[in-house]
Amino acid sequence: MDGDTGAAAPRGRVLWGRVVAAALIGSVAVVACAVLGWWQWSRASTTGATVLPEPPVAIDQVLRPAEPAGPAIGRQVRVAGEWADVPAAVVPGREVDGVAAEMLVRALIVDAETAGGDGAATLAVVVGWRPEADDAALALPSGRAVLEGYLRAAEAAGSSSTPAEDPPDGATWATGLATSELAQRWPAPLYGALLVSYAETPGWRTLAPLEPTRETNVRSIAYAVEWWLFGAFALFIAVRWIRDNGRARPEATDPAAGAREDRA
Amino acid sequence: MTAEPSPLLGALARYRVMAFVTGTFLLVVFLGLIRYIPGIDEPPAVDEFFSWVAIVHGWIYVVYLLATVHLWVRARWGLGRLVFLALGGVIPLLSFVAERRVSAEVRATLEAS
Repeated sequence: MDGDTGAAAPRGRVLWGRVVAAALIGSVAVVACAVLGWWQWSRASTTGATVLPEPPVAIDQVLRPAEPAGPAIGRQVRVAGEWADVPAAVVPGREVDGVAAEMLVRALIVDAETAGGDGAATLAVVVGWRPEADDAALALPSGRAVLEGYLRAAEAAGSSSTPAEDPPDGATWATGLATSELAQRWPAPLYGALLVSYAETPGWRTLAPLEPTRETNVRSIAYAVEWWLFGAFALFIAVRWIRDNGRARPEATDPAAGAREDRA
Repeated sequence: MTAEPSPLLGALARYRVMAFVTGTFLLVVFLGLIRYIPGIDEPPAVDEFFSWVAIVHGWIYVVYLLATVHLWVRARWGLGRLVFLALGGVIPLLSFVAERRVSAEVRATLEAS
């Protein structure tokens, strides 16, 4: 690279050819490690094992009325009961698939047997959504229903404000998917979670079923971190090499550099 | 040896331990590759075992690199030697060869000084 070693100063002059070459090689190595690490990091979320939701079980297996819903959230359940003769709740101000939407929540009186034996209970069922612009009259089925769906956590009341206009006939506005709000209108006891129903309702679109979740691929995460560590190694080596070899040396005997780098 | 232990010796000892451990793990990792031979069906548990061995080897290799770089810095070797030693952790059996050669050389250097 540079043959002139005749510098007289105690610290030799900078051998820019070497320094630039080493810096380039070092940078390539560091960037390569960073990119490989990033690649593994992004693989971690896409190559993990797919975890299918557990198949539906009878609701009393996972949740009883008026109990904390925590562990039951996200479980798929089956439930049998009768649509309550009370106004349904329409929750405006939502968004589904990028569309301004309103959701319909109905009260299902769950059979005492299905509920787990302590008498009938009311389950808030999210039966579907429709674009907010749609103001067709409600035409809801009544009578017995056997539903499948998944349990979702209740929201706090008041997450959206109720519009000024009147709700559709047979419904009231609700400010959220809030069991606390619905409990004041519907027969007690109420379940602490809402059922997102897979069943079709005329005039309403069903919400997407529960999707499989993906586990993080621990192996890819480990590899990503390792690649970044290798990048750090490469950086360290490059910096050190430039420090040690970046200047011409006054003395001719340099066993470390002389072994492999000619100085003509 | 010399009466006063050289700082090289400590680094050498750590490097030797890591060279042995890394080399051994690497052999197991390569043993795991037999599952890619057509016709050999491993039980999933075995598959998982090798998968974990590979992950552990990755981390051991990081420690091996640390020990290697440390020794390399203390011994003031050239860059080629570092590459050779680093490859020892990923090419089967090379770490054992490298370890013998490096140990002999460091001892010779220490004897001479």
